[in-house]
Amino acid sequence: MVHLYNLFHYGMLLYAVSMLGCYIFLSSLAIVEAVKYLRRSRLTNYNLLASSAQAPSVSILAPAYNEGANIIENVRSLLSIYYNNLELIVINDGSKDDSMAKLIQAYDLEPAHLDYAPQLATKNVKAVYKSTNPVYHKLLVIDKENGGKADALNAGINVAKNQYLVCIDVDCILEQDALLKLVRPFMDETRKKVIATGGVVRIANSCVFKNGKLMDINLPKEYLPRAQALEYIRAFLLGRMAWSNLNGLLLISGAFGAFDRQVAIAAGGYNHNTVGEDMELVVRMRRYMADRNIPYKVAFIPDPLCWTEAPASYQILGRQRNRWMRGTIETLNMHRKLFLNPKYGVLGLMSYPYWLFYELLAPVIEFTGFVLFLVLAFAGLINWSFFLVLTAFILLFGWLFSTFAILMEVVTFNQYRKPGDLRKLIVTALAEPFLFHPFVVWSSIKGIVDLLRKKKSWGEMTRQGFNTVPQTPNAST
Amino acid sequence: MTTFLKSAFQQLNSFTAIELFYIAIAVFTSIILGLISAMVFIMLAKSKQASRQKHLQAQFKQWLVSIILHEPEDKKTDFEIPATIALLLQKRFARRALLSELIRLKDNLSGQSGDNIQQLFNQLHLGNLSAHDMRSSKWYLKAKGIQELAAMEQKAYLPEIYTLTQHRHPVVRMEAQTALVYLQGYAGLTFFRQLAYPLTEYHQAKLLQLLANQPIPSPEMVRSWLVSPNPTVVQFTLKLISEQHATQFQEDVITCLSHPSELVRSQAISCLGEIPSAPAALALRTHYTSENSKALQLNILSGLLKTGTTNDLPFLHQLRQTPDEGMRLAVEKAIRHLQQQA
Repeated sequence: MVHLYNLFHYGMLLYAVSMLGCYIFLSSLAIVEAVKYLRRSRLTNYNLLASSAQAPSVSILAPAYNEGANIIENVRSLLSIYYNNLELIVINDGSKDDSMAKLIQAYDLEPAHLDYAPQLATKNVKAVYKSTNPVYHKLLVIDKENGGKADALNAGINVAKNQYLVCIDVDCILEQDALLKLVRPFMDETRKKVIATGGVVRIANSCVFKNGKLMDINLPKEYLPRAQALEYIRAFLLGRMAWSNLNGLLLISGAFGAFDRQVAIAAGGYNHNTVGEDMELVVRMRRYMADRNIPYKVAFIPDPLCWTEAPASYQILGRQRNRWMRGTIETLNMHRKLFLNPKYGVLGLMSYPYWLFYELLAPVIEFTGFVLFLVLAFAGLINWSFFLVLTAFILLFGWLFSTFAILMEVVTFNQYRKPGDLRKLIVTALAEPFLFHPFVVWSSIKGIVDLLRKKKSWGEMTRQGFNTVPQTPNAST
Repeated sequence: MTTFLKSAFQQLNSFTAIELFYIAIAVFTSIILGLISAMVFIMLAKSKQASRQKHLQAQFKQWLVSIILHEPEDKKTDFEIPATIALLLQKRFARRALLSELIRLKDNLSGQSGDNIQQLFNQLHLGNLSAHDMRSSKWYLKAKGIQELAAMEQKAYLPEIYTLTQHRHPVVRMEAQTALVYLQGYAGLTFFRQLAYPLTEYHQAKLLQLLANQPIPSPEMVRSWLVSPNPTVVQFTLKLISEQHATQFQEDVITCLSHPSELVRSQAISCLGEIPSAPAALALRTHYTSENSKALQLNILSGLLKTGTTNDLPFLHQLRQTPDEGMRLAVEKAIRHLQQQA
């Protein structure tokens, strides 16, 4: 029993220390990458790409399911994006509401005959619509049978004719220059092929929007979205920046990411058999390139480019985290060949093991640790003074990491600069290990259980809608 | 096994003495407090800098407006510098702020107003600040300095800028190359002769934008770029020919169809689509069978859409038998298009 206790005790300690080491290493890499990007970005005039005939062509793919309440405004927002060489493909994934009827009426849509050879298998496409109004010449709407997000995106890829695909959630609000910044990495490499780029997604709760454009940035007023705002800062500004530096990114957010169309098709498009289709596609595209020994890169932009609504209730948050965990396990399982496989370089030797040990196993270890703690406490085997010191050590490291992430935000983009924002973020970080993190761990555990029970559902995501100020008259077109 | 575990745990115990954790906790707490202090300090510094910048801009505003609107009788006459501004400009941060303001204005102004801004820049010897940056060992300062000198048309620095066109840092050499083209047009592209590094797509777009309204001055120069050992130089030249619809280079472009680089071949195919003619269509048809890349074959079919005639229909009808569905669709599209044209 004593050995069991010691194993538990030192095992947890070893795990915590190794995680701590990883975080310190990743933070240092993130600083280097962010500084490099900011220095470079200050010298860049992105307007060049807006007007240049040489700017790469882009197809935006926006799948929509039962988005009738906001679909017209969301599409209008996407049509107003500052980029010339663009087509917007909205995919109505068998919505049961009036999304399609609304789109047809608002954008003067009519069925169109398109010459295209579907290269990816999808559910039946009922019709492809184009607008008769030249103002909306960039818009294309696909009406198809319901098949899920991955299926809808594949239908969009089949129809898309441009060089790069930008896959977004239709309810996201993009910054006006988002595409200009997102396509730049594709044009910057000569020795490696850039196969995908991702941008920072920020939390839109409590922000103010007008005519589909962001007018005022506010830190979310409610605790849960605020905790997610902090979590996103940590994940994007530290985590993804660091992995970008190592060219080890495994995930580009499904809410906003760009992909090379040819590579995405060659790799097989989105996988219908996982709820983590965004991560799975990136991993598969990377494998595709590595298997053919083609030098490649997955890039990342630290600019806040996309704003999305975060779950504000524990119920919706739980469903989201449950799905994220299932998606992670499914992806890692599908690509287990990568694990410590030197053939895949950073991907096999660093990214995959990191995701396995510190993203997938972290909630399992934390949960197991908690259960064992209860057992040992009942058995009277806990050295309470040591336990308290160890707990304080781990809590403090968590706070240290969050504080560092907030500092990075202040130094770089400083989006939350209103009086009191900094204080609120720090308080959020202090409360996180008690109010937010345990729930996320619990939801992840439920995700694992659901996966073992072969539950495949996406989990309904109810949105509250953005804060909007009244529309300017006649600004709709 | 038990003995081994015992000894292992004993060893670990020596590394995990509770005192070590106390130290770690103290260190973490101090770092957190330090980070929070740094955060507050940076926020205050940023806010102070922003207000100082705003204040300076307000002080410069009236004076700069009068300079922008000034219609000089004699170009050699210096602008009058108000005493308060002259005093202010003795401070380095104010000179930096004015320099940024002038660069911003110059980017948005042309004609006499732009000339006035440039004259003021010269009068205040602000070029020294930019040149100082250009000579810095830090790449981002170097690039910024070059950008400023180019924006203010400081041709005296051209020889120095030229030496940076082969700089090891991609941003520095891109800015230096852009500056040369901005200041000298086609003559600035002399760095192509010895370009060891590839030109990125972004950089090519930038150079093409600068040359957009300038006709190609010398066919020999363009032909020499088309045989450059650097494939990105050839690619850039083909883009230039496309943008300028320079049909006189058609034969040279056709030669590029057999270039070993796929990048160049792809660009040559697109280029032939932009300069339509019977020889271009024939060259594309001939090249189709020898091209191994499916993507390039599809490009050829798109090119035939633009450059082809009914003479190309028999060739396209032959391709209808291809088993590849995507290719077949492209063929059908081209046939339909050419038939409609006829």
